[in-house]
Amino acid sequence: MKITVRNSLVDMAAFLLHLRTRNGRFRRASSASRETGRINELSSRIHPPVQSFKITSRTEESPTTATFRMTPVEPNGKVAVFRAGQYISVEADIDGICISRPFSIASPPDDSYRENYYDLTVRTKDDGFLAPWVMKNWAVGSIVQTSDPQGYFHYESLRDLDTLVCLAGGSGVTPFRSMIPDLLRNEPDVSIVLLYGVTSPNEVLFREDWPQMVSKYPQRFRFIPVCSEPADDWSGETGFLSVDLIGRYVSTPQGASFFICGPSAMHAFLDSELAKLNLKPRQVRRENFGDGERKRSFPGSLQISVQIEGSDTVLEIPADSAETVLVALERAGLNPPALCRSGECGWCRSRLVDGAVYVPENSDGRRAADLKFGYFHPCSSWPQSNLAIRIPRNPKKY
Amino acid sequence: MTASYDIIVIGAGLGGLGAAFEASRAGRRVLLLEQHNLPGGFATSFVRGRFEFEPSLHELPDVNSIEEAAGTIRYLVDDAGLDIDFVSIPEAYRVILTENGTNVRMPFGLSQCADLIEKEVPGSRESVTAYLDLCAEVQAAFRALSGGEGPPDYRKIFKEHGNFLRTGSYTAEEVADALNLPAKARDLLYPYWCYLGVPMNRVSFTIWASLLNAYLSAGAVIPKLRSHEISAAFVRGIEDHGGEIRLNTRVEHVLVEDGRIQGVETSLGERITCEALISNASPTLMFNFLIHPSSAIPAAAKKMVNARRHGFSLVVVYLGLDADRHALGLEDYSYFIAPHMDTEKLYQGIYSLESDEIMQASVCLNAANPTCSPNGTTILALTAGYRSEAWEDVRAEDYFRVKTRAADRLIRQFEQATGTDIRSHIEEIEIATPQTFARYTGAYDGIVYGYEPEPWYSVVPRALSMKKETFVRGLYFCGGFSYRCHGYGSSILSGKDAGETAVRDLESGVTT
Ligand SMILES: Cc1cc2nc3c(=O)[nH]c(=O)nc-3n(C[C@H](O)[C@H](O)[C@H](O)COP(=O)(O)OP(=O)(O)OC[C@H]3O[C@@H](n4cnc5c(N)ncnc54)[C@H](O)[C@@H]3O)c2cc1C
Ligand code: FES
Repeated sequence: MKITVRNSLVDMAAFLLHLRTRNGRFRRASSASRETGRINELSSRIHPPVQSFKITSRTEESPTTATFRMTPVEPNGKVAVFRAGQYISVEADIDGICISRPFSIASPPDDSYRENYYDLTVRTKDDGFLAPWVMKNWAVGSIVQTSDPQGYFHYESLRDLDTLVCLAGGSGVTPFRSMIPDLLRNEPDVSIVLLYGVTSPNEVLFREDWPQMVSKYPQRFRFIPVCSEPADDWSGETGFLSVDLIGRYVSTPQGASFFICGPSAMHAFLDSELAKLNLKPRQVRRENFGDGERKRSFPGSLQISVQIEGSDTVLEIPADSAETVLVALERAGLNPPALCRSGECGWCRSRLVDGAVYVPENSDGRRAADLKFGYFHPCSSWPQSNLAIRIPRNPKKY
Repeated sequence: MTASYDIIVIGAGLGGLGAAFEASRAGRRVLLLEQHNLPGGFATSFVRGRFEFEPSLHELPDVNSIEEAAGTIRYLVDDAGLDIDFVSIPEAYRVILTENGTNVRMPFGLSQCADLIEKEVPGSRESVTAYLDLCAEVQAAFRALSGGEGPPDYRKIFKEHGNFLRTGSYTAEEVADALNLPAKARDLLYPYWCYLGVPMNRVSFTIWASLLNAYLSAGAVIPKLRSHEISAAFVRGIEDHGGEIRLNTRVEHVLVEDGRIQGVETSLGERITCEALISNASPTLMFNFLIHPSSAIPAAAKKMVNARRHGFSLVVVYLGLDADRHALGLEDYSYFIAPHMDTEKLYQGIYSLESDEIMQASVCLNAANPTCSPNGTTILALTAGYRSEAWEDVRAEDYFRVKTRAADRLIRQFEQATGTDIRSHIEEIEIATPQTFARYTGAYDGIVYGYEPEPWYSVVPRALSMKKETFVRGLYFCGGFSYRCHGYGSSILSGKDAGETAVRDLESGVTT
């Protein structure tokens, strides 16, 4: 069938005029250069590739803990926007070895934007490598490089319920110091119970902030410190965070969303406790503080052959079945990319050419096609044999 | 490793992957540079909790069945030999128009579609059949022409593909009018407009017809392990053929001297030379930001970029739901939901974040791929076009609130149109906006849909003037902003074309 749109001659001629129309439009167009796109600019305020800060104050919270306030080095620089509960990955060069560790932002977004700072609270107990170095070396005036805000441990109004149960252990309380005031101010329907496990009372962080929040929002916020090794004069809750304890403060756990942040041991304990409540997975969000720990299995000392993208050289480095592949790479000074250190962000994604690794189920964030084509996340993989791997370069120049 | 290659490819999106694959398969020394830590660009995946989400692909058309694949699928599996498992999409789509109560499930197959439309719109069969046949003819002509080399033989085209030429300068709306396609039939056939992103009164009929026929006539598939499977398979293929890939490596400068490509400088401080450069970064980025020194950017190239209208971006709400899809009442794979099918109005609506004149194209992944998430869970992704302009004035400090509101709107629209309860089953949620796409792919203003294919600048005029539009010797473009327009198939095949052309030019010495 022959199709006619206007009439056959016009239809054909119109086709041949195509290029003339195009040429005319091109000729008439402006030859101005474009500015950076507005959306690309927005993006650089949310996810700048790096942030440089100067430390403006240091507050000792406890004998082992300090809060550092930091503001952008650039005169017109602004802190990247973030969701309360997210972390930034802090970089440091320690004796020629570049490492990075995630730290939750401990200040609420509104305050951070208004006065252009982040608070980071660092405790030496939780991390054997970076935190002690930070405590010794960071002072007012120090310059610090970090990533953009990262992570999925944040409230989401389209998903979470109006009652929030926050379970914190040790320095795992830091994201709540951002999240709780933020929700109290901006989500009027949300009410919150914070159950905060510490070994001794003098380890309670931000001890002046919590009572202030309680007195400002008495109907919506309860603060319950729980001491596992109390002194005689402690009149509060004791023991570990448990279902019994939760039951004393939350009448219907089935109607609550749980946010849990603390060391691995606390997560392990709470996993079995919470199992008794039959919560739906959608009710529970977890943030694991500190690298996962594992007992040495297999032979302790192993070898990894590492090729870095962009180089033919293969390096042989020592590894240990009790440490992740990422740690082995860092020890060898190879500066591998890493952000979350818990398997979920995929930033350390590398090629597993040969050998076997163990990946715990709860920190296995690998993509299905990556399993098929032989990729893995070194931060959540423990070597079980000698390995051959290929790692990407770290995108950041130091 | 040397700091000199035959061919450097900027960007490992589908276009760049296809280009690097072809060039390394042809035995050339190829270096593929990607700024992100993953290959694929939009063709990737991400994990949240128990779910691995598909970020972009709804469906790859151009198949009869997986066994007798054609077009893109045939290229990927048979020709390139990539290790990708595909699963089929069960039915074309459900279209729900809330203002006039349309709620129809469209099947695959041209005669099945004509039957169904006849049932819904009695008396429409003749014009609908003529319309669908014409679309099939146009796609066949388009295919026959796009394979060839050298200038087209107009006499031959005229003889064999008269209707292709006669309709080639018109919009989809003009051709539908000429065939008296009933309004209600248009309601049912137009939903795919949102894959092109240009309203029917402006979109090139050639492009529209090819797309409609590609989907309706032969059905569609998706890769089993999300589109990251396509990208990872390409990487394997490139490496098997001796090509080299460096992730986390951004090309900062494309070095040009005397109108000829010299090489690139990367974010890691390398300077690498090459004979030819294939860019998966758009001409907009190349001719405004990448070429160095900027005095080497021809004014004509900037005019070309400015004469084109950039396409739209998208907002996607990715949902991991904690119930089985049947329990949720999600019986379809693809849902097109809008107040009406007035595409011009819908297009105007997406300039604003507050408009209710929005159309969503939403996909329940489990309906095609039952094992994509754990038993008793469902993956649902709600997608709507948005002009990037709608997001320009959003302050960074308000960004999270604004995107939550946009997501809320789409979830509400979906629930109301389908009568389902999604909200109380959300276990994981992620919301992508133009900002997200800008972040991960560097796309200018987060634009996903390349340059708008109006008749004067549809595939045919683009193909005819391709050589004129690179402006720099040794420079080639591929991907969603190149001559085949956006989309998975177009991007992959444009990469294949660019790889082959660059290799051919190197062999014949044209680039020097
Ligand atoms: C939500 C969504 C849904 C979609 N649905 C569909 C669908 O159902 N069907 C369909 O066919 N299509 C769909 N598309 C469109 C399709 O995904 C794209 O058209 C296609 O993937 C584009 O491929 P590309 O080759 O242009 O590469 P892109 O994906 O644009 O990738 C470009 C790559 O280049 C890299 N790059 C850019 N600049 C540099 C630089 N200077 N240095 C180094 N690297 C650089 C980027 O990081 C990126 O990896 C969808 C897209 C989106 C976002
Ligand atoms: S650093 Fe996030 S997955 Fe390894």
